[in-house]
Amino acid sequence: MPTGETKHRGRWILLILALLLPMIFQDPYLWHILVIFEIYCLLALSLNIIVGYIGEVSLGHAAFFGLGAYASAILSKNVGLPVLLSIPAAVIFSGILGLFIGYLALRLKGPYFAITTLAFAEIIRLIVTNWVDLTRGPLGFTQIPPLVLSFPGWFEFKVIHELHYYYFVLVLVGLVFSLIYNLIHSPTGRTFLAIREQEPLARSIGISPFRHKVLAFVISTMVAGLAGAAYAHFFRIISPDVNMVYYSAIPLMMVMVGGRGTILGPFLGALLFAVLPELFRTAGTIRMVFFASFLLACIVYMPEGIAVKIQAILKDRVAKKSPAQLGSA
Amino acid sequence: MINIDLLIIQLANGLIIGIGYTLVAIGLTMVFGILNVLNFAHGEFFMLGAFVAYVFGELLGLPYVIAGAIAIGLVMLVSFLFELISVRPFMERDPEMTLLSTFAASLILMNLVEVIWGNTPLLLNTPFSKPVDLLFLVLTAQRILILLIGVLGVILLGLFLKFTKTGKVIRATAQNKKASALVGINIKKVYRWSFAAGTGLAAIAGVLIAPLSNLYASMGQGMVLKGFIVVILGGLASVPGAILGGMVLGLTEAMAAGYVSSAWKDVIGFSILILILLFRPQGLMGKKEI
Repeated sequence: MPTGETKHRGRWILLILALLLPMIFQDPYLWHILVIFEIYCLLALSLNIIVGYIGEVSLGHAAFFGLGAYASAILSKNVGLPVLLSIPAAVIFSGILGLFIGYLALRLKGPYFAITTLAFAEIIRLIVTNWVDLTRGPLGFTQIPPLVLSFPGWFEFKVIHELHYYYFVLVLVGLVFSLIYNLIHSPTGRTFLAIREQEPLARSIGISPFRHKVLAFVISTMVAGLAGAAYAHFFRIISPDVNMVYYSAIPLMMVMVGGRGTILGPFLGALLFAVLPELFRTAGTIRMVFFASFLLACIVYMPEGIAVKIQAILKDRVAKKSPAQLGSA
Repeated sequence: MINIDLLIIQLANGLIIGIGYTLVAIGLTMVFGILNVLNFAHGEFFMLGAFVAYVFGELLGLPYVIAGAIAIGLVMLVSFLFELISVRPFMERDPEMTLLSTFAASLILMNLVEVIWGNTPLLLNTPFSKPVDLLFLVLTAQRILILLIGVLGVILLGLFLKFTKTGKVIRATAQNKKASALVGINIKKVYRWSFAAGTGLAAIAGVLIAPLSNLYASMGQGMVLKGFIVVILGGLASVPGAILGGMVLGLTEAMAAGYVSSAWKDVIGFSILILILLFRPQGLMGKKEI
């Protein structure tokens, strides 16, 4: 366990780096990738709650990502809500859907849970594709209003520029990260871990696993909705693609490859999957072949993920000391 | 007013599609019953069956039946490799990981096929495209072929599992792995052959069903979801359940497509899946044996 002081120092260094990085490299292309990286961070942080802290594999995260994107886009364009309000509204919508699906699906475990989440995601995708009046169907939803920061009568600032959007999402990532970090280190978070490690034991001392799992699931889906909304107002055009299996697969890979149930893992995974596609940009579809092979290799050779591997190398000790891992998780 | 002719056509279509679903689902359910692995890549073997048949039938000009037979054999070979790479490493260490490893394998296969053949839908021609006049309705010969081979395949599989020695070994392993290993059954071999048999059935379904519509790389994804619905509907690890489930799903979809709207028929399938999982998780005929 690093002492509190060194841990905090590490966090400040990362924050300063995150603030300065886009200033140092004045390149719109880089900024674009950085924003995608941030959105992926949100997605990975979100799914990490389910996979890492509840210990279930969800194959339907695209449902919440897509719902967040569509809800914020429709609310801001059709209803005319300012984007600063439509994003939180989308987050709440995702949370409500998450409560509904989680309440039903979390009675099941393992493969049954995975299939149920996948089925729900397919239903959401079919609704988005077929409800043409609302979503314009496969054509996609275009001209989504940009984020506008305004103070009536004082100023109005359109966040269109990649650099500005980068800082906006950075704030979101920071907020979500500290929320999840504090949650995991709160009594509730400890309860999540207790349930993941020893459900019968947790139950025996009066913890309700189901209620805690639903709570974790709802928090996770709200973050996924936030990621979707951030995506919608960045690209300002979305199609039912945001509901495709791809957006369920990518966060799962990020979490598994990065290291499930760790703090650093989701960020590493997000970094990997934001940068790798760019390196393989010219490769087209074969990218996905590389990714999936990479995922397969990772779960064969590093089943705990890169973060745990790095930790183990750094601390020069065996990664399988689960008490230490739990403490830093 | 219900139009009787339309009803009969929809029922026949539902039955035929249901047989396709059954063929796919039996493989899924066998692998789950024997290895306790939910194979997310199962649909890709359906897709591979169709594509390999396309290569031999359309590109190399072999007759449909021969191309189909080659396809089924090759897909079973691929399944050996698949089992070796993405299932076996996890069987002893962490069986839950197979959820992810088969998912990864599915992505690999699907995208590989898309890299090779692109994403324009392809056509697989069949010599059995002539309509046949049955007493009540007219069906293409291909649909009748699906019906015949499907029913025959299911019966043969049932007899194989029930009466042959290998079949008995498979059933014993499904019931109790440790005890089977103790009496000298080579479990790894059983795993390999269960996979081969399951994927072979999926490939048969692919070869048979593909000529009814188009071939595209992601066709397996839709099929594996249908397979899950059927398997859950019938009860995981139950072969009779998979047959019943396939018929129920096929008929429901045909009715929904005929009388509600074809755009929403898939939603109905998934809704059934979720309802069954929530209210009768053991499925319609769920028992823990095969």
